[in-house]
Amino acid sequence: MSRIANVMVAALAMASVGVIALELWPLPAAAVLTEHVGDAKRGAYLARLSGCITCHTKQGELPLSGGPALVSRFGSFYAPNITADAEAGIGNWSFEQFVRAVRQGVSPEGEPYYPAFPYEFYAALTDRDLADLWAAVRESPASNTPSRDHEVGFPFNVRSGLKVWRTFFERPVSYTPDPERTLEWNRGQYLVWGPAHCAACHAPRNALGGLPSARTLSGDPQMQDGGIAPPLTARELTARGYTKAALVHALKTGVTPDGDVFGGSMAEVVHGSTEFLLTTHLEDIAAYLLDIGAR
Amino acid sequence: MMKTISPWPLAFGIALTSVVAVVGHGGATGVVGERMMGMMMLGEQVQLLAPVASGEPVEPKVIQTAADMISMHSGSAMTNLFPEGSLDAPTEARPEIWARWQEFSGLAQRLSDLGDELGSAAVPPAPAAPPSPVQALVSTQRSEWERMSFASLMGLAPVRSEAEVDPTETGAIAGPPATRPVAEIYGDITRTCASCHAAFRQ
Repeated sequence: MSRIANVMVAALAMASVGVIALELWPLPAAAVLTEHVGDAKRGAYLARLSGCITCHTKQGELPLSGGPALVSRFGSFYAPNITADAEAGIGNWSFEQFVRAVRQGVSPEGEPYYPAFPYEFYAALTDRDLADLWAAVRESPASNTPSRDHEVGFPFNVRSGLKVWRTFFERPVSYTPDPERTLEWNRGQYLVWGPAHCAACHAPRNALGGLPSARTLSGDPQMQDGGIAPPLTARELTARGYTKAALVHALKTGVTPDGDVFGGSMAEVVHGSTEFLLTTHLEDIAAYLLDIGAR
Repeated sequence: MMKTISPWPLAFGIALTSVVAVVGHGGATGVVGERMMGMMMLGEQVQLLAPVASGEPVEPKVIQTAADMISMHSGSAMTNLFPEGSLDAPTEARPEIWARWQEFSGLAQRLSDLGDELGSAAVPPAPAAPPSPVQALVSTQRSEWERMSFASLMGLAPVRSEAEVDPTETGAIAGPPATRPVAEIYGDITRTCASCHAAFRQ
């Protein structure tokens, strides 16, 4: 056999081993859940807070029926239809499958989701939160709009490659209350690092889209969409004129302390999510952010 | 003896004012400087109106002045300051403005209409009859959470603040209100600004 043929056989064998390894690469198993009767209204509130409605809904379309392009340097991602439609949506899923998808980023077919879906933050959601979100999905009108495929080039379009990515870069958030801090501060910590997933944009991601290992909100000068996410530390926020009241006002209206109005993705966050929140939760978020690095 | 007035102090004043204006806009001059000044004026009005978003009272005179300023700096007054290709530094405008001119001018006109509407709503109409004590009690006891509904949170029904609840539904007054509440108009103004900034500002 010629030398070239040997090299080709060896390459083919290595590629086959690689494919088999990726297929067999383990993903986290489904968690055991506690029983909860879902509250659809609380679930709708969580769907606002967590950005589900913002990302999974196009303007003028039914809520959760599929979102517009989320543009990144890896390509364009389209949040799918997650209404209760049995064919186009997730009406055929079980609650356990829903929880595994949201909190662990694994589809019912056992495929990993792209981290454009911020499941690393949703890992902090409680069983009750998930039961409420599920109730909201089940109670919302079903849409038969088909989900759109992501437009991602090679090699990022190889789904199973995400298993390797997860091994090195996945940073699931867990919530641990600090007994030394106030209830308001702890709630703020939960909201910021859990459902509101502020660090998805306001933390610097590496070249492969991984979040930093340390919890930081030091901003991202090169966001996936080409924008700039400013730091959310107490020092930076204070320097930009934010007080607790001004931060609550900005999250409620999109108006900054100098009278400017947010544009870009923060405008979507405010008008799709934070403007719907209870003032007390915005105060929790503001209290927590204005304490980061202040001590 | 006739006293002569030296032109130098006046000239110095004009020059100083121009320098301050230019420096205040990152060195912008010409049409770019003019529109940045206009945006700054709009920002000031949005700041002045900010308390209405949290239900705090604002003097009708302040609302009226802000409404006039918003109307004055929007619509065609705004779009006239965007001649095609005017992208000289330090502008934050994006070239999409001219590619999607209809959308851009539509938002500018919407802002103008909202300014006019705000002016009409500056002085609230006197209620035909005061709400009954029972109605007032029920109204103050509705919490922020109670005012939310599954449908409003999901985007299946409009969100309504306490001020937005139609008094005809509660029986407080007999006819429909003539104007929308200032807080609702203010919300639409900031949303219109946000839509424009998201699409057409760097």
